[in-house]
Amino acid sequence: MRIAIPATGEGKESRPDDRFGRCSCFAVFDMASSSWSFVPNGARRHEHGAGIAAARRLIDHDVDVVIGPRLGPNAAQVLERASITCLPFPGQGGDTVEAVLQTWLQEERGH
Amino acid sequence: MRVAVASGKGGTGKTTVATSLARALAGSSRVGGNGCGTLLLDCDVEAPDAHVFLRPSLPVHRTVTVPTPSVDTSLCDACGECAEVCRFQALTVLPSGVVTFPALCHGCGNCARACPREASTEVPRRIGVIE
Repeated sequence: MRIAIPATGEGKESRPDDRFGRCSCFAVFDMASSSWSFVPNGARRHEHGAGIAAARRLIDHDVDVVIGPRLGPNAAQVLERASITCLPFPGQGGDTVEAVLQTWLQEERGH
Repeated sequence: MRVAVASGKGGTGKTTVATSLARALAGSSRVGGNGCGTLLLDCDVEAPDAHVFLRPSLPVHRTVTVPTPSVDTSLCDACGECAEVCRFQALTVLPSGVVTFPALCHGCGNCARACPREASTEVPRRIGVIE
């Protein structure tokens, strides 16, 4: 399973970005290999439809779950059609993308 | 003589001034009457409302459409050419097929021209009415 989190920079200590389509990059955690990769978000320079293009990029990177800000309707539709689960940022414990991931993992284990 | 009433700020009284001026010039209650050949053009593209003030009779009534893509899923092989040429992201190609976003389409027709299988055609989408 691969989890993507919009981030303000590359590195797991980066802050999560509160924009989806125009975030700086996507921090992608691969659970199988327990490793991070960082996908630059070229869509942020699009004048129109950045959310759609960003969502498209996540599909190309085989993402299964997005933890991020509230999505626009177009990006949400693309991710839904690709059966990618969209979850909101945790209310607390989300100062870095690593923290966001760990908070989510803990919640997952709790269930 | 042409008089333009303009302001970058909303709610400043453009329509009040323009319609009052037009009425005074026309010398009658209807713009476009015999007055002095007065013609009032409400050029506010987003929220024209001079007609609310003047209640003119508007004989022309025409629906305006823009061509937007319609994808025939039986012909489409999701090659992505259409999405590649769209600068407004009005189409995106998913593994399950093409998704269109008509509201983002500007009607340029590039997608239909780019489609090697003639799966993408243009259909009119109503965007408003001229009256």
